[in-house]
Amino acid sequence: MSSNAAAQEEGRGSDAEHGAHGEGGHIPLRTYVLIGVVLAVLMGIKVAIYYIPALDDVRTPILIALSTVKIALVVLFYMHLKVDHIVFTWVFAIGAALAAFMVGALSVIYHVLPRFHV
Amino acid sequence: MAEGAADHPPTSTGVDNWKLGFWTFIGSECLFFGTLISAYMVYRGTAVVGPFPEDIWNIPLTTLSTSTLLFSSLAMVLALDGVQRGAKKFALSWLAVVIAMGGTFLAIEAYEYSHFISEGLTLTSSTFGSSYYVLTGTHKVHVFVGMIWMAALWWMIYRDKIPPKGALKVEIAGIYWHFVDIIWIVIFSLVYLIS
Repeated sequence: MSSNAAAQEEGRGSDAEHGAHGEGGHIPLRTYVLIGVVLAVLMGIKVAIYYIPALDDVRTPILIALSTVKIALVVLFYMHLKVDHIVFTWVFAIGAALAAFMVGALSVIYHVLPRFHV
Repeated sequence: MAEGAADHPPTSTGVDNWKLGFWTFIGSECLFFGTLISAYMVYRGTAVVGPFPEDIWNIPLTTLSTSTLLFSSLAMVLALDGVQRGAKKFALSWLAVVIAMGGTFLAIEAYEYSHFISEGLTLTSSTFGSSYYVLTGTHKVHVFVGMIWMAALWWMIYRDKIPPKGALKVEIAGIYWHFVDIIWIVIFSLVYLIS
C-alpha cells in the first residue's frame, strides 16, 4: 500500500472510530442541560448589570467579558468544538478573530481616539 | 450530503468534507456579520434626528426574545442527541421546540420593529435606523432560513430518512442554528445593553 493510500485508510479508520464528532467523545445530555442553565444565569447577570447605575463605568468591559464566556460555552459544547477535530476550531477561530478585530479596531478609531484628539 | 462521518469516503485531512466546508462557511459568516456590526458601531451616536436608541429600547421585551433563542439552542442539542440515539419521538419533540422558539423570537422581533416604525425609526430616517435594521434584519433572515431547515429535518426524521448514522445532517444544521444564536448574543450586548 502506498503511503498516500495508507494515510487515506488511516483517515477512514479514524473517522469510523470517532463517529459524528470527528475526534471522538460524546457530550452527555446532562452537560447540555448544565450549559443551558449557566447560559441563562449569565444572561440574567448581563441584564441586571444594565439596570445598575453604579456599574456604568465598567458596564462595557463586563458585558463583553460575559458575552465572550457565553459564546465560548456555545461554541465548545453546543457546536461540539471541544470534542471535534482541531481543524474546525481553527477555521472558525480565524474568521471570528478577524471579525472581532475589525469591530474592535473601528470602534476605537471612531469612538475612543477622538476623545484624545488623535 | 454524506450519511455520516463513518460512511464518507476517506479524505486527505481525515475529516468530513461536508463538515469542513460548513465550518468554512461559518467562518465567512463571522466576517459577514463583523462588517454589519462594524457599520453599526461606526455610525453609533452619529444620528442627528430621533428617535434615539435610549428612547425606544424595550430591554425586558428583547430579553424575552433573547431567552427564546437561547432556549432553542438547548432544544437543538437535545434533538441532535435524540437522533444520535435513535430516539425518534424525543428528536421530533425537541426539533419542534426549536422551530416554535425560532417563530416566537421572530414574532417578538416583528412586534419590536412595528413599535420602532410607529415611533418614527425607519430604514431611511437616520444612520442609526439604517445600520440597526440592516444588521438585525439580516440576522432575522438567518433565523427564518434556519427555521425552514429545521422544518425540513423534522419531516425527514418523521419519514425515517435520517437514521442515527446520518446524524451529521442534524449536527450541521445545529452548527448553523447555534451560530445564529451567538450572533444574537453579540447583537444583544453591543446594540441593546451597551449604550
